[in-house]
Amino acid sequence: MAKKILLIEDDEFLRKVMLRKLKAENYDAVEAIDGKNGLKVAKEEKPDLILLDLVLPEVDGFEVLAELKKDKKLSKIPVIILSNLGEQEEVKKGLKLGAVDYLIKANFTSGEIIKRIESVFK
Amino acid sequence: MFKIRKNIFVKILALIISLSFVLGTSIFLIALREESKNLEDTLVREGELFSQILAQDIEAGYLVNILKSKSLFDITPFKEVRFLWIVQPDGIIYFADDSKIMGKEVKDSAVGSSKLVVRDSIFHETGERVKLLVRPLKIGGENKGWTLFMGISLDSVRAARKRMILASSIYFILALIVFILISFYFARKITNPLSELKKGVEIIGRGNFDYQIKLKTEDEIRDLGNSFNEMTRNLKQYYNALREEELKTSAVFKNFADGLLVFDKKDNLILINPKVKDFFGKKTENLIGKSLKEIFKFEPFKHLAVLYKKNKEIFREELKIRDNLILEATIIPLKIENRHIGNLMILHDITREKLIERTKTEFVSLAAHQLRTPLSAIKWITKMLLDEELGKINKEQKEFLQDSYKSNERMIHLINALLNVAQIEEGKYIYNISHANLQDLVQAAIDFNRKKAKGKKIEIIFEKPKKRLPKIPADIEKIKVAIANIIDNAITYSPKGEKIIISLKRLDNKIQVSVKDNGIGIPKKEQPRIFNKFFRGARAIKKETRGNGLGLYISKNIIEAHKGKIWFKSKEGQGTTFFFTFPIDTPNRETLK
Repeated sequence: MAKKILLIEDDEFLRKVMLRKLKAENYDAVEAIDGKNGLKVAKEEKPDLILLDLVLPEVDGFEVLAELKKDKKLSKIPVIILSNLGEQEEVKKGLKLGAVDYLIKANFTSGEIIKRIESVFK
Repeated sequence: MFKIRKNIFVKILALIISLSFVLGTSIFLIALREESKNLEDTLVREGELFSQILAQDIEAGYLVNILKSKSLFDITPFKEVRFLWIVQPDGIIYFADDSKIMGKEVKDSAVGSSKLVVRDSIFHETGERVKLLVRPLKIGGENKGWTLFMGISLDSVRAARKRMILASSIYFILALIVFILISFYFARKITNPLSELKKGVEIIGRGNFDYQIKLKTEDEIRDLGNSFNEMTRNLKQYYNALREEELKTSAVFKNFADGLLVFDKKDNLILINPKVKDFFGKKTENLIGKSLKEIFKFEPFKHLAVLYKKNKEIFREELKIRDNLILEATIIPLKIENRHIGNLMILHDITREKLIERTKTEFVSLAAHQLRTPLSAIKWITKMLLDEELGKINKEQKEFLQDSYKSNERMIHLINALLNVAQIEEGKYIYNISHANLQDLVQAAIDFNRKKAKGKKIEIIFEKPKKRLPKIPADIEKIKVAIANIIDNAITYSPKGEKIIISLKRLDNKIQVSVKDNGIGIPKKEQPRIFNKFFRGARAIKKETRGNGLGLYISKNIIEAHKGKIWFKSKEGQGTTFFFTFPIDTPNRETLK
């Protein structure tokens, strides 16, 4: 069965491209445009993996991550942070909160991101 | 004041008195001796004369009758005669002025003398010192041994001498009094100006340089006074110049825009300027004269005290005193002719600069982040299009998409560099240290540039040491970036088909990497600015318009953060060699910023 991936991303262009890529790679992709929505979708859809942006309106990515890790039903879901924030502090914070990987969007092609996702499922 | 006068006065007086005493006594003694001799001589001459007359009278026999009724003294007008004898040749006194001794024998070498004898003798009857005069008498023919013995008293001489001594003594005492008075006068004449001089020196010593010494003498002391006045005038000039200088320094110190704290040799705070009070409040004033330990207790000064204790040589450090006050402290040892007299701490308010700097880096960071998002989307989609994930594309489309992808990559690269710079400047460039083999990192940096080199048909030769080098503590990703930047430059500024030689070797306790190219080189006048942020050489711009001028700046920061060094040798038109070293015993990660 195809793995379900939740993409939480506020930028429409990026969201569109990534969804397209995920579908092309045969993933069951679901999306959320902000943190609040992201948490809601996560609860409803129970994805196998979450791609999480950090700069999100109202509830930011760190808060979403913290919430996910607090929820017993969701805490096991691996989260890859996919953000353009890339300072060491943020990377450290993200990994400390429980993200399995931290990818800076501009430094990876969508293909490379897929490879990282695959490595999580291995 | 009294002491000087007394000393000099007593000395002069003692000198004059002792001199006059010695001189007077000598003169007096000589005079006395001469006078006594004269008197004696006169007396003897008179005695001789008298004895001659008497002898003639005796020889003529005139006296026979007279002597019957009178003694010899009665007929002598010469009152100094003590005795008068006519002595027979056998020494028996034939006749004497004193009848008691007639017939007695005289035992004297002059008995029977044929010549006149004059000598000192003693009159045995009275024990008195007398002048003895013996004259031969022509009785019963010449040279028959009859003599006339006459004793002349020296009483008159002695009396005269006594009178002389008495008179001289009186004169001497009078003279002495006069001397003392004169001496006193002269001594005062000398000591008075000296006292004046002393008074003047004391007044001037108290700082009154307007005082002039006026001396009522015409001698060397007056010259001294004049010289002294001259000196005082000069002193006044020096003092005024000095004071002026001091006022100027003080004004500079007070009005200095930076906070200034002066510590003495023992690290006591001895001076602060008003700016320090502006920084830390009025209480600061109470800290003057306090030791470092006490200053330490004053909360706002804690940072400074810690900093101060760290080092004695010139150094700078940023200190965040509170949210709206950031100071840059510089400590400079104060030296006078190489003698360490204390330390000066300069506090420069950099709050505003820091704020501007922060705003700037925050802006860069934000802008960069905002730019990264669309660039990421372009990167992703372009790559997907190129990989024909969205359908077949023709050759022309592919070429344009490739160019788009490359341009987009360059933008991303630039933004990454800008973000790195912003992080370096904000101190947020965090190093994750692990142990790495530099050879692997160089190889990775070469591999990273392989494609670009291939495009220009540039051969990269890597000269590795035979033995593997020891690992060094390093942030692997950042060192790779640092080395890749330098190799990238070497490729960019080399002509097509050239060689780039990268060598790695161990030098004592460090590892040196060099990257040699035969490219355009760096002109001498541009060399000092080569590591500056955003700097690009004029020829470099001509050769390669793309380039952000951040590569070397970042590389230098990374290498120096690893306690390494970077430098280069370059000749315009001939190429450049960059060198950088890493110490093998790099301290632990705490020391890396």
